[in-house]
Amino acid sequence: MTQGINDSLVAGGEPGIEEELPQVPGKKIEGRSPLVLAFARLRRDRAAVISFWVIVAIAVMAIAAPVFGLITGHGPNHQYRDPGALSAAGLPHEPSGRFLFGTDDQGRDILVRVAYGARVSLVVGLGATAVTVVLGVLVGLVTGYFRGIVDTLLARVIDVVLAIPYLLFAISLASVVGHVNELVIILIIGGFGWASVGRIIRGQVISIREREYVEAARSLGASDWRIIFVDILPNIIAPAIVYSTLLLPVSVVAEAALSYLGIGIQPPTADWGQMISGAQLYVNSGVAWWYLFFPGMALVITTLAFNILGDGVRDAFDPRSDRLFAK
Amino acid sequence: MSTHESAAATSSSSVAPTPDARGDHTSDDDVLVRVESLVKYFPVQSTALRRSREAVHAVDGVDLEIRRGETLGLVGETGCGKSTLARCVARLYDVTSGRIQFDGADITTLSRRKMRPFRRDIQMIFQDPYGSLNPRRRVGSIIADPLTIHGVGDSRRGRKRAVQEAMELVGLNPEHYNRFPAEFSGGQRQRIGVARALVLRPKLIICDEPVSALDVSIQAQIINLLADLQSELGLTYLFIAHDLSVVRHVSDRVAVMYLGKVVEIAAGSDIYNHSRHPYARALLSAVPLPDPELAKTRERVILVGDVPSPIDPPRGCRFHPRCPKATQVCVDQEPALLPRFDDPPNHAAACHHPVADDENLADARSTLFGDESAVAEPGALSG
Repeated sequence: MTQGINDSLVAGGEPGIEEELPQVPGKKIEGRSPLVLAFARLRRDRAAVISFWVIVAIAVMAIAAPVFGLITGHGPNHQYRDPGALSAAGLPHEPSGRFLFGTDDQGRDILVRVAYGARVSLVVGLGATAVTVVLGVLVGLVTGYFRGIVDTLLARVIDVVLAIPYLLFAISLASVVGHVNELVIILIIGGFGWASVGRIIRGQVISIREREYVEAARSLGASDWRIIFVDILPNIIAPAIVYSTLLLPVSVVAEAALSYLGIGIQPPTADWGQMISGAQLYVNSGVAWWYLFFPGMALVITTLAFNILGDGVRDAFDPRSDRLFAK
Repeated sequence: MSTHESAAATSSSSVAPTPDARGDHTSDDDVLVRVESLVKYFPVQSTALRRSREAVHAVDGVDLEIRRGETLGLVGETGCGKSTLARCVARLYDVTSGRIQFDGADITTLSRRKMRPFRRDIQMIFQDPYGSLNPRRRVGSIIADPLTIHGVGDSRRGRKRAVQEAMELVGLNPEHYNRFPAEFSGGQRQRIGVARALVLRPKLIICDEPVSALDVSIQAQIINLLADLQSELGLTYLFIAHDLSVVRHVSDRVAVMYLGKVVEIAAGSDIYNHSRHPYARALLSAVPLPDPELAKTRERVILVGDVPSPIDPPRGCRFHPRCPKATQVCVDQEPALLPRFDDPPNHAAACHHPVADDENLADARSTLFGDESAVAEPGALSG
């Protein structure tokens, strides 16, 4: 738009006028980077902003999990056997003044365990996403830029990784590793996720490397690595951020699924997927809805917030996407 | 600025000048770039299962000299190989065969590392002012690229000063150092491209259609800027365009290309007033004239047919299937690039039947059309 205005000014006759952009005297002229502009757009997206604060609240809950324990006086793994916590038949106790979210089948406080479970979900969700995106972007950059034999080899590796049945592999891997902790889960999820990201980034790099500015850098004698990191990477950052936010809920759910299947975080560490798995028996028989409801809601709210934020980020970084058609 | 120049001077003087085999017409000192029988083929895409031995003959045996301080215009239709030729000179492509000399040194097969010092002296200005600037980087850092890549100027502040000097030189506000390309108009962006090419004070600037993507009013500004900078800094240009009126304005000499070959080369005024090759004549007759009266009376040469495929170019003279003066010799023999009639030695045309000054090409009829093309394409003659 500014271009049109400037051109019409120049067409008006005075050659010097082209350089004179309106400027506030005394104010430093600094262009706003595309990233800054994208975040400014994101701030105007109300749903994304609300989701962001929901995620902040969940993060605060995760960080402050011991505070929940202090206030209630219940440790996350402490089993209460008295009638206020576990019925005579050994069934979970419904929500009460003492246990706001009720207790589970071991007489443990569900509120405290949900708070502790957020730690695992967020750490694994963020960690797995980071591994996925960093690996995917690196592989995508290298394979897309160098083409040739490197590309052929890495493209086959990507095909192989995508062909491996992820759950079967995870189950057998977990049995081999023995002690599964957060790091192992992060590596499992990231180790399978990078391939699809790598393939998408590769496509973008292939189109960017044919741009004239890359040719310009080459004509200046820039090294391959300089071209990759100085000229191409900045153009990949925006899609990488978008994929990251869209991958976060996927990773959170993947972690919960692994734990649900019993191959994720091992008991007694509090984890949402594991709690949902434990609650199944009691919900099916109609005994303890709260056992499933609270960890389930925690998982749903977290993934929903990440998803809505992810959509907002995508819209903010690519203003030409779906939104035009939605209106 | 002075430090750049002295550094550039030492880098070039350390290279021993190669003896020139054909040093009879111009002395070696005078020639900045010498291209000898340059050939560049691009293999046609072949898959693993089906190997294709076909190749696009983009540049097929070109000899050229660019003298210090001159502007050599390179014109021709899209796809005639002019951009490929320029990119070979800049060593963006590896040549198939032939030789490229720059500043007395053979750079034809230099490795990427050995080519680096020469890249300081060869800079490019690109066609698309939108595509040639990285949208995610600030203008200051884009213009500073040549400095950082070649490690010129040790301090950040020194580089910034050099960049702002270059911005001022091309008529940009140095205060706009921190802006992004998207915040500039097309003409301003092209000025950024010029500033980037200038910041190292190169010897040769290859302008690959630098104005064809710009508005006409902006075109004039950029062309005048390039001309001013040339006289100010003693630059040498290889100026590529398909717009002949632009080339006429800037060039000392003009080379006309057709299907990977130079068909005519001459001083700017000669090519416009005394063109010998029928293709050059036809190309010139297609330039729009601002005066409608003059345009009415002008000889208008209309070519028939399309440019043949560069994968399998015609034998003999490549222009013969479309040439109004073609005869059997044009099919059998490839014409040499030589001065025709009593033209000066720097005016050469590759044609068996050069066009005289007073000849009306529109009346000419090829003797080839009678037996071959006319049967296949009866309507071609009447047009």
